[in-house]
Amino acid sequence: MDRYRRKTSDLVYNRQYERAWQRHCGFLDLTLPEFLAIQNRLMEEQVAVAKQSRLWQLMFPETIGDLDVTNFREIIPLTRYEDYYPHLKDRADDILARPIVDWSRTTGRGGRPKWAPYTREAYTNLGISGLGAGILSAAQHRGDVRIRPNDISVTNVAPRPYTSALMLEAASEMFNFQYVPPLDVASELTFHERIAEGFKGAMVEGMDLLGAMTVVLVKMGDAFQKGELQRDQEQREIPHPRAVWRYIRARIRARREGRSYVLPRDIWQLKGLQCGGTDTFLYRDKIKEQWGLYPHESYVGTEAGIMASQAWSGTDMTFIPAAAFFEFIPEQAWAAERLQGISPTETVLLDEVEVGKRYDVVVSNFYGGAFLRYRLHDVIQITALRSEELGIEIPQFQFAGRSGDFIDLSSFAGLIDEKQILQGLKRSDINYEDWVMCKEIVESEPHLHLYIELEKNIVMPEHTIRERLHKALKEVNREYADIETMLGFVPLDVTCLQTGSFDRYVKWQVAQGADLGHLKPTRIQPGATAMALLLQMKAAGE
Amino acid sequence: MVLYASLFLSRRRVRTGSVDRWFNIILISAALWSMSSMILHAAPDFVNIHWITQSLTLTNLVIPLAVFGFVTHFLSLKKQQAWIGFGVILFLIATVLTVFGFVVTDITVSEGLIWLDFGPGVYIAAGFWSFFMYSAAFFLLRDRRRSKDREFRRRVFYLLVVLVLLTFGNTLNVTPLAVYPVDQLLAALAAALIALSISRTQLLEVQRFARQLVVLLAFLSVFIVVVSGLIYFLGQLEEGTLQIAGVLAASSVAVLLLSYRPLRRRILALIDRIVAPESYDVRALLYSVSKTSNRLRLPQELGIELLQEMQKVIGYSSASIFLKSPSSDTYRAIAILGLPRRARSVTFQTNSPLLAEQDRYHYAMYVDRLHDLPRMQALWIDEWETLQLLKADVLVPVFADDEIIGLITMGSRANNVAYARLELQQTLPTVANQISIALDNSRLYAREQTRADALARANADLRRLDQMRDELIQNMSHELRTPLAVIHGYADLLAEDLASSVALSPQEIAEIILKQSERLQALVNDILTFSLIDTDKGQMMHVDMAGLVSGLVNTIVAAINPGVAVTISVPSEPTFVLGTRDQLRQVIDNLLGNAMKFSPEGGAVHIEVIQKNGEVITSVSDEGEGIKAEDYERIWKRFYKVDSSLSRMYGGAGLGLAIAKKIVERHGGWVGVESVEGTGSTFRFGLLAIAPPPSPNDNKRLETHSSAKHVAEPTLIRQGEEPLKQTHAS
Repeated sequence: MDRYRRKTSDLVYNRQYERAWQRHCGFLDLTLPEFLAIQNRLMEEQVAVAKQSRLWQLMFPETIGDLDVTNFREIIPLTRYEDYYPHLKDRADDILARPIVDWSRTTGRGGRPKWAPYTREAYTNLGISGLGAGILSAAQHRGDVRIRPNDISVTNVAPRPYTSALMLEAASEMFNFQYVPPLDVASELTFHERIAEGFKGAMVEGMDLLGAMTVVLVKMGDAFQKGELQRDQEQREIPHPRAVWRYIRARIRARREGRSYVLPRDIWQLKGLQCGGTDTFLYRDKIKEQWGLYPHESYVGTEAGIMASQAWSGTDMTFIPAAAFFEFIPEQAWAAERLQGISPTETVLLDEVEVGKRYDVVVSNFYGGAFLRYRLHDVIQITALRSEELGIEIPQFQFAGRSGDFIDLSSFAGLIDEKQILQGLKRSDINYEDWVMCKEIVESEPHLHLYIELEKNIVMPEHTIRERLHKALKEVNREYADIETMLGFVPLDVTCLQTGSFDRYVKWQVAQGADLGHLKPTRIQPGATAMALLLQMKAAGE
Repeated sequence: MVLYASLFLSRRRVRTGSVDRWFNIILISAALWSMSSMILHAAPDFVNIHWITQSLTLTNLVIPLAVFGFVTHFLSLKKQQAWIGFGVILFLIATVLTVFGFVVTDITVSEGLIWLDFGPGVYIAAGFWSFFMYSAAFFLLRDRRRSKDREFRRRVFYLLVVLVLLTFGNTLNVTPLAVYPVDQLLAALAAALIALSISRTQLLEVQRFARQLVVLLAFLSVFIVVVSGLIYFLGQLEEGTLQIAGVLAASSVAVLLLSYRPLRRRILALIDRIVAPESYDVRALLYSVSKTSNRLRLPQELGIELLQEMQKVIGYSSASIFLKSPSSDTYRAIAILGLPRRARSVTFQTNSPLLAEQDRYHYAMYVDRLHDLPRMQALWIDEWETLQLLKADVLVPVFADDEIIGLITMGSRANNVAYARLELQQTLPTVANQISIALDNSRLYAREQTRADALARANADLRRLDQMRDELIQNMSHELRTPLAVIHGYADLLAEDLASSVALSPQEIAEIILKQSERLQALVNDILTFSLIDTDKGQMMHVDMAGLVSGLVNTIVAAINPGVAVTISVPSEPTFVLGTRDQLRQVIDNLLGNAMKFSPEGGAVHIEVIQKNGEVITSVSDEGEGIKAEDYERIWKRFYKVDSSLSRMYGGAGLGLAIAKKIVERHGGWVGVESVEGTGSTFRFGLLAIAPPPSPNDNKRLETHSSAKHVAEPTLIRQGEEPLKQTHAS
């Protein structure tokens, strides 16, 4: 912590809560011009620093000489991970102009790992933002720093080298949390073991802050309601006395509320609850009921760390200016790309966004990082230009989903794309005319829904297709394999379309004057019109 | 009680919450305990000894609870309420046991000593004490070990010392060692240490006066206890009135000593050094700064003097002053103190958030705190490193007309004494204002100084020009007079028909007259050319320098010194510049003419034209006597001749190079010279290269060069090729 001479826990020890708030959550007090000024100045530094890097010299050999903060948006095209892959795949230590302290990993499309280097300053900033998210998750009003040194933090997140684990480590350098299980132990455990150890430890030690995937929390809450965990508790050989006391106290609390079952909130009185997953909004009320707090969300990416966070209240998020330089591809541009294959070129900045519009996010790293004009394929929706209620002057947004041709069923299930479905269908030995895949919400649960037109004269029950495809997808997508365990159901539905459904769609498209490339519907998330047309025959048939 | 009252009354209005409340409870209970103990020891016959003992025991029990309450809040421990609730229950039990006589069963006073008989309840009381005091110590030690924050660790250290003293005092209380004034002394020491810890660590926000008072009272009480104790042990007075007499005597002595003003001042200054090292005499500081500012100095000298003067009072280990540069958008260091030399080259951009934040707040700020401001996220990594290089703890902005014009950085003080809030908000900004005025004056002084220097230089130039003019007139008169005399003489011979007397034919005399008149004309032409360069409106056109050079060489070689070999090196492609052909011809003419003139018989001159970095560079090298380094600048000046005798030998008014320079600069180019004495010189000029003209009819390259009769042939060397031919004149 070169920049910060005093740890945040020391500030809290000395009751300097305002300083701690400013350090970690001060971005919420900025005005939009101040936000943009920070972005521009850090980008100016980034261009000057990263121009010296081997990576940028390899990637932009022709333009790098002229590159500066005023023209980089004009002369550098939007980039994808494929552009960086040849240079980052070997994780060379000298690829950047500044020393790399760590590499973060994620699984990209098609299962290929993506690596993102972190410089010392970027790593520190990751810790600052991570701790900021922790403070905000526990805060109830502006300036409210409730976390304390020695607070017990249980985090069921992916292990190193995933970004969330790096963030925890970076935050631990600034604040004396008591991690359960300890970070060094957690790094040796599998995802399931970590969850189990975390809650087991929390039964004894208690729990102040919890970070977990939304589905895990919901599943746990449901299990409590059904009494499954209580039975587990009873089956334990020798329960720890403090766990027994905690459980007795929880039962008393539950009884006081007239419940026969214990909820997590009876056992733990959490200060903050951080959730991950694109479907968190579905479970907000349920989580509040089960865990006693509304979930707090942040917008995190491997390439740029924590980019935005919710404030102390509400569901909207605010961008963090020091996280990365943000550009936004307007909705019409990425829609045009999806429908007509035209790559978007122009972007807007945060002072040019409009309320209600959706944008695809483009980021450029600061602090000597690798990525320049990197397209995240994340779509956000601007909900307000400022928050009157919270007194935040920076545009507010919500995560809307992923752009392009993939489905994000649930964060830990990885991205499901056309290639994987095709592989799955092939392995399932299903002969078809064509298919489309949609993400649908059924009873507040996310489902994949396959609409398939089988080859003529082939009859196969929908449940057979479902079973086979589910099995095949589990083989193709490792993260998908865990989904049944996590959610407690098979998140795949299958509907067989009438023979000729796709032909009918093609004819309709021809009648509309569509070109040859767009006669068939997009296979992933084809849109309401396409679905209506495809289902029309089935409805008529029924 | 006095301690507590003085602290309470002097407290700033700062919300420090439950930590303060618990601290107050410690102070009150310690004061009550001390008072009960004092009464019990001092006047056992005048009070109900049983009730005083109960009171002593109860207040004694409050202390560990209060200490524990304080520590749980100070360290933000978990489950504070549960712990304190548990403590309160134990306290109530101990209270009941005390009231019903299970702790102290019997009290006797014998020979000035109080003998207590303890019942079984004392174990519970002792357990209560030990549990909470040791728990508090455990948590303090644990968190001290976890934290690397120096300030926090220091506070905890003081608290631990206080805990040890309280525990030790309490232990003494229940042993035969509990004799007056030992426990009183310990109580007073504990109070003094508490006061010291408050002061040294700024544990609570109290005013300087209160800190002085608290420490004064604490040490006074120690003094009184010691004096009265001495009287007690040494005196032969009757028991009972003894202690009161002692206290009164010691108090009287203390009051008398303090009423002596110089002594009081010294004591307060001493206390200040102990409890408030960040406090100093602001008036002395301002006086010192203003006194230094009154002397007229250049900003650099003034800056370092100011830093040194301030260092004597403020006590920083390092400091620097940055001032906004009038010519650029940067702040440059004008003075550094206690910093490495490379700190002198540090600059800050005006758009740096470091300065923007200072502009916003208008008072000095801790660098450490500055980092936490959200707008400071825009700070560059280099700027963080710069602050580290400057060892800056505090930044003090310097304002003039409400605009930030500079920045003073100050490093840490001895023993890491923190800069106080008042210091940051009032003292240092006031000093900075004083410095701003001083630096403004200094800048004006520097400006005047620069102006005076410029005037002196101009004066010297004028004198030199005057001298040059005199020399010129002498030279010119000589140059003009010589041909005129020759013309006049030979014309006279012709007029008198005396040509035969000099063995010359009239025709030969006419040739001599013609040659001398041509020389005269050339001189006059040079002077006219020089004065007319600026007014010459010759047509600007594409000029192929290589062609121009090649075309000129033969003529000049033939005309000036046919005994010199000339080689030419030009590019194979035309090299175009935009210019006036006649003027550029004049430049080459002059440079080549000089080279030929100053080359010895049999010497060589090399002319080269190259295109490099977007420029066409023409160079003329000779094998003459060369030019001294100190003459490099002067040779381009009007009427200047490197060596007057040599110049006179070859003639000329000393205008050739001045004309060449003026023309080249008028074409947006540059001239230069390199020379090695005794070996030769190379004159160069460069002009911006341009693309060839669309129709290059006027710029045909000269491919071949013919030599004039009986002269050495100039040799053309195509660049990238071997020389075709090189001939030396015999």
